[in-house]
Amino acid sequence: MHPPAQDLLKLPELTPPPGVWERVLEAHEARLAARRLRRRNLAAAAVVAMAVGVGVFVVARFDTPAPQPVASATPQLEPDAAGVDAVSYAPLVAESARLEQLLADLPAPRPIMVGSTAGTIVGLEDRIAFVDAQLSYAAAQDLAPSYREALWGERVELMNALLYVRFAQTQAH
Amino acid sequence: MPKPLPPVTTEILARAKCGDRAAHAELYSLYAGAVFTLARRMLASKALAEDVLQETFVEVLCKIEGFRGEAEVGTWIKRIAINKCLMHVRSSWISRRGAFGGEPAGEARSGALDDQMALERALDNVPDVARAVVWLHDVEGYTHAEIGRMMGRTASFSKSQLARAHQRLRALLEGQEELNETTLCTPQLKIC
Repeated sequence: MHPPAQDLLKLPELTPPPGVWERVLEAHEARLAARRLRRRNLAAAAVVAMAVGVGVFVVARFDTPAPQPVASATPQLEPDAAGVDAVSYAPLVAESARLEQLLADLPAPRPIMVGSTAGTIVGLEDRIAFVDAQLSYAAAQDLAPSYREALWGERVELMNALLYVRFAQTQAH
Repeated sequence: MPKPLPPVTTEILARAKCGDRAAHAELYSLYAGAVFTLARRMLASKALAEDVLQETFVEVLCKIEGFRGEAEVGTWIKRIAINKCLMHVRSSWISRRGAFGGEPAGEARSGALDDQMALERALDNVPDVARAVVWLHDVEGYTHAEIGRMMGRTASFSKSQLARAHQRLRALLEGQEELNETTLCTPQLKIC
């Protein structure tokens, strides 16, 4: 063995500086908390996804001719022939608009996020886009207000879920 | 031969795997010195060594539950620490410190330094990768093949880095090259 190697073995062990163990515990607790939060978010997202799935199934039972995709933005409330019926889903429209605003007020999503969170967000946004297309079609075809009410209800649920996931994502970082 | 690590009882290990904080603290008290020394020698920086010590034990606490006992606990902990040190060695931060890897001097020292302190200072003045290789090979007892794998290089790379480190250490110790002032960590002097 080379002389420096023999000498290196004789170098004494150093004493770690004080306070590191306390920092280890803090960092470990923070990691555990983040892990718990992620698990809760995933569980909540799974419940929401299931609820949305059931909702879509229920809406689908108001069976109408297959809606054609319409490339329009978020649909506006159209006055119904029977004005009384329009009132039935007006609160849902207002709630949907309020949630849109809350979502817009959230900080921009971070460029890097957990894959499962990104997947949930994209899935919810796709579903909202699909409901919007159905609402546009319903407005164009002047379909039954009850059908539109169900769609608006669906939209509010999806917006709520999206808001929840996005908010949790901002809190996780 | 690497220095032997203190053994840990199966009872402490079992408690640590169940999340017992006292057992975790016991593991820390047993191995913190070895981890800190390893990191300080490999990185030539007290601040980075402290970071590595912290990061290593956070990972130990996170993964101890799944520890299967394929190696000694101490060896496993040291291996985590080595990986963290190598991440620092590869990082751009450490490479920005230039060819001389040591920390800036705290205060100027004069007078005769004993051999141990001289060696410590010389080691701090060996380039980062070569210093990591010399420590892993000469002190921790890893083979060139193992070091090459750890660094994502070949055994030949490890051999050439070791030869370079030895040459540099000898030159520094014989006064053929100038030492860069570093913060010494020899415990008896309590300088760092």
